[in-house]
Amino acid sequence: MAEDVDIAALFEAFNAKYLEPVQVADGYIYSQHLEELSGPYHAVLVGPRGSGKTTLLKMLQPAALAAWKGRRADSFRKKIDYSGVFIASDISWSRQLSSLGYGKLNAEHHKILVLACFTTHVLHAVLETMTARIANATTFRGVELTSEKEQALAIGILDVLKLKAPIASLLSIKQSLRGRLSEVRQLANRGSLISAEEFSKILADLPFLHIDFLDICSNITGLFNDAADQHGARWALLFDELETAPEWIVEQLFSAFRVCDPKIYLKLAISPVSTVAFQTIMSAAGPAEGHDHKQIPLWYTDRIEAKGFCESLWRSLTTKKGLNITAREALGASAFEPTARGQVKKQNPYAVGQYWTGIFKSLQKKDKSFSTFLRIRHVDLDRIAETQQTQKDSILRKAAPIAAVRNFFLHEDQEGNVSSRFRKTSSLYAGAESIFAISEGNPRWLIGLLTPMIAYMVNNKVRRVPESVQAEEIDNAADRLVALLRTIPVPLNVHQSDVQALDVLVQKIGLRLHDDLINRPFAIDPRLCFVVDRGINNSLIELLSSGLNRGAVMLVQGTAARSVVGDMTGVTLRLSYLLAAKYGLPLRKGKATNLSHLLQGPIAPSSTPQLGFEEI
Amino acid sequence: MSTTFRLAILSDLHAAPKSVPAPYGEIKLFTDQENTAATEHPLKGLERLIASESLRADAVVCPGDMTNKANPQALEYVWNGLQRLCTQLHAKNIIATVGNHDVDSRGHSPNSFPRESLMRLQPPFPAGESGLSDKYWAHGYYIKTLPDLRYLVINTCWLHESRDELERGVVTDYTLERIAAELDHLPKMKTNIAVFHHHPHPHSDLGLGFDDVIRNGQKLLDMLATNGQWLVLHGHKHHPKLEYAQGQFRQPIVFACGSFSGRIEGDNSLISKNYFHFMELELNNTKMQGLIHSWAWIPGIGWQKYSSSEPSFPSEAGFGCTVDITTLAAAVKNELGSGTPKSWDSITTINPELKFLMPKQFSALIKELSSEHKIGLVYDSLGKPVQLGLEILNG
Repeated sequence: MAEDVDIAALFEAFNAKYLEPVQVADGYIYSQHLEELSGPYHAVLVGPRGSGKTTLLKMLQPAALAAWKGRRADSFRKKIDYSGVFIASDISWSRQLSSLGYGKLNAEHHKILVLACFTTHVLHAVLETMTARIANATTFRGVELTSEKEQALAIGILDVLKLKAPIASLLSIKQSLRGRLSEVRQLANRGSLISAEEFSKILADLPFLHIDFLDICSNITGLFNDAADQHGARWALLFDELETAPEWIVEQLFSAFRVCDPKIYLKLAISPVSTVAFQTIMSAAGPAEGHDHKQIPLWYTDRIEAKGFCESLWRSLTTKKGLNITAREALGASAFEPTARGQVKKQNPYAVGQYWTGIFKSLQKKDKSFSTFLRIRHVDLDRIAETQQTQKDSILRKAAPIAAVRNFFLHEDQEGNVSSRFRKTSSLYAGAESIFAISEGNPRWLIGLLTPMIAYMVNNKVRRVPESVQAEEIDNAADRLVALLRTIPVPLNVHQSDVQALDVLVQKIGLRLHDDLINRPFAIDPRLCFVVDRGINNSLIELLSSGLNRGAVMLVQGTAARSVVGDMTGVTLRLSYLLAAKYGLPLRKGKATNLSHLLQGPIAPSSTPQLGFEEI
Repeated sequence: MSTTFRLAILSDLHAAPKSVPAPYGEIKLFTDQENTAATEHPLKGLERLIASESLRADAVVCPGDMTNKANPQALEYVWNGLQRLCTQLHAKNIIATVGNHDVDSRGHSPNSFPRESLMRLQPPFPAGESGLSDKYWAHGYYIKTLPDLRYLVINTCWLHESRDELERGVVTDYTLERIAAELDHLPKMKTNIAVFHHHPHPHSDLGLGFDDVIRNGQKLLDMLATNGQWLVLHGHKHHPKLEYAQGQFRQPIVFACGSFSGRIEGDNSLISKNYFHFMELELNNTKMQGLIHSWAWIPGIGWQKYSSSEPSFPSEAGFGCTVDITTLAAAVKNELGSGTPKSWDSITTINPELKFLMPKQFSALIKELSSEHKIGLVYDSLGKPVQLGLEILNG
């Protein structure tokens, strides 16, 4: 293992949450998602953990845009006619809010105080952007403001915010807002010691508790625009990690799409499953997708697009380490790789002696059902070069990945007996295309996978990452994901087919699909994804929602899938490719089956890792 | 010639192997936990901090208590660790001395002699070379003169083999006489640093006790004052404090360093944390002036800048400003005029003395600015001043 890589910290180490705007811009890899997010409209950014939501939102801050040096940076900046205000989730709606008043406040009082914290936090973020724009007058969206104008602006804002500050400056207002957060906490603690009636009177008399954050934002950004002689200039409030916000705040934000001041855009980041967001969007009076706002799912439906992003990220990581090498050169070809078109024209990849005929012939020998499959379709492996191109495309190219996996896992002993065996780490998933697919285009995962591999090349002064090293890193990444899944709280009453926790659930799904794939007769389109059918109880659905929000399972497009999911019933899902690799499945969506069917009964012993691990 | 001399200070590490039984919380720097993350191991965390902040120093300073209860394995571990830090910081000097825990085995076998473990260290402890180290062991001190400054290292645990002197630091009359004679003969230097483990003057805040002050401490301070401007660095109390010594003139500035990874007990635990200090000493100023940047250790996170308010030791502190507070406040008022808010940096550029205010001097200035001139300050989230202006009466 490379010495300078702290594996345990890899996933979280690349969390943009902890980076300043300039650092985010410095490491930013362009993706089409930024283009979609940045348009002059309200937007909802939907993606699981690590899918890059925070990075994209942070990139819309003036300081990040000013610092961005990418090829597309100049033309992109020209299109942005607003000032982005990044609103992190850490203070405003984290768990500490729920403990305000030691849990002794009534719901109404608690809500008032939580909203006051939230509003104060949003205002602090707005002031942060204002001060940054003044401090960097000559950079992107910088503003030259004389001291006198700033002083007058500060007095105006203080008046609107009903706030006291030591001196009349924007920095001073920021400091006072931090003080207001403490004040609200103290107030909550006080409320826990007096009667609800008495506390109601106190709260009613504090004007700052009753201001509407959107109204106030509209007001103070207007004051700033006036001071800067930029009347009507636009602003964007960029809300991160809304899945951790109280539901009524999420509802308020989604409802605001229709009623918000036209000079303010709302760009909201949320995990795929949010009942409240979904219900608000779907309600008759709610905002309409495409009309009031745009939804941007942060997973790639197009592998080519994802590949482009992954390759850019590869270039960025390798260049930083002083390497000039393509991912294909360093990681090799994938065992599943559909042969490049150019190559097909020059040479038939299925011809005798080529890679695929080796796989097909090996499998044909030990797998009678594959042999039957070929016979029924009139495919003669010895005369394959003469096979029509259309047939190759429709049959062999589809059959190849399945054949590769079956061939890998079906074992023929010296006496000719064939059985399936579970092999833990597997070079089957090595190769640039597979590694990219396994990352799902999720930047944090891809960085986590590639960093140790690149470190391996640097430390060993080589230009190729051995398959065993790639396999080890895939295993490590999958183990980290499973460890994360293990930490997800288990809802009460999860007793469907012995499933106790999310890691157990995905393992059961993975092993069952693997068992189907290997032990059933060869099928060109095996069951690899599943529908959350009516036989699945609510507790399991809750677990699956958590899995979807953390990237353990993925929505399968072209089904009932939407960007924001409210009700999981009827939705088609697949295991993320990282878990697919762990459980020995091809990296494709395959045919769907009912989840309740998958969870029935025990799993064949041959598929269980406890009985047959074989290290490579 | 450089205008600043930088010191990386790690005091009172109290390192020990995890395998040695110790009460919970007594040891924070384990010496047999090679695979611990940088967020859980103060020394590894420091290496990460040095890299991320690109720190460079002229000297690494360790005013004693490298180990807990004189553990020989920990002693070697820390001494090697300090050498590594020197390399990482590009520091040419290591200024270390003995602490009571380095020589006091308390309950160990009567056949073990902790001093021998120290004397066997390589490179030779504490000077990194044989000549000066031998002198330290023979006479209880050594003096080294660099082009820009001079430093004196004293062993205040010299008599710790004498059980009666176990609880306090000592500079014997003999050692004092030798130091005075040597300093008298050496050419005078503008900047001088003295490093030893115990406190030379009373440090009894927060119930930290009276009895362990150095015997002959005030004599030592007086002697130093007669030989130029001195900065004293010491450890032992685990409670960082910065003040002038008593005396008739040229009172040395005494910095009681916080503990790098030792246990913080009693009332002090409400005020102090574990600290890494990084000092910048101004060589060109006519007075002994400098800045102390401190990071606090947060298990699970690592070394962090921290929000500081009295009575805790500030994350950013200065020392050496001798201008009277009333005069300074009037000067600030004059620079601000009746105009709009100004940045703190712009005011300190005009009046650099402000940078070197000690923590209590700074508090006094803030009070004076507000009460006499109606000037208010704005701070960043770490409590560092960023702006000042005329106070407003809104709301």
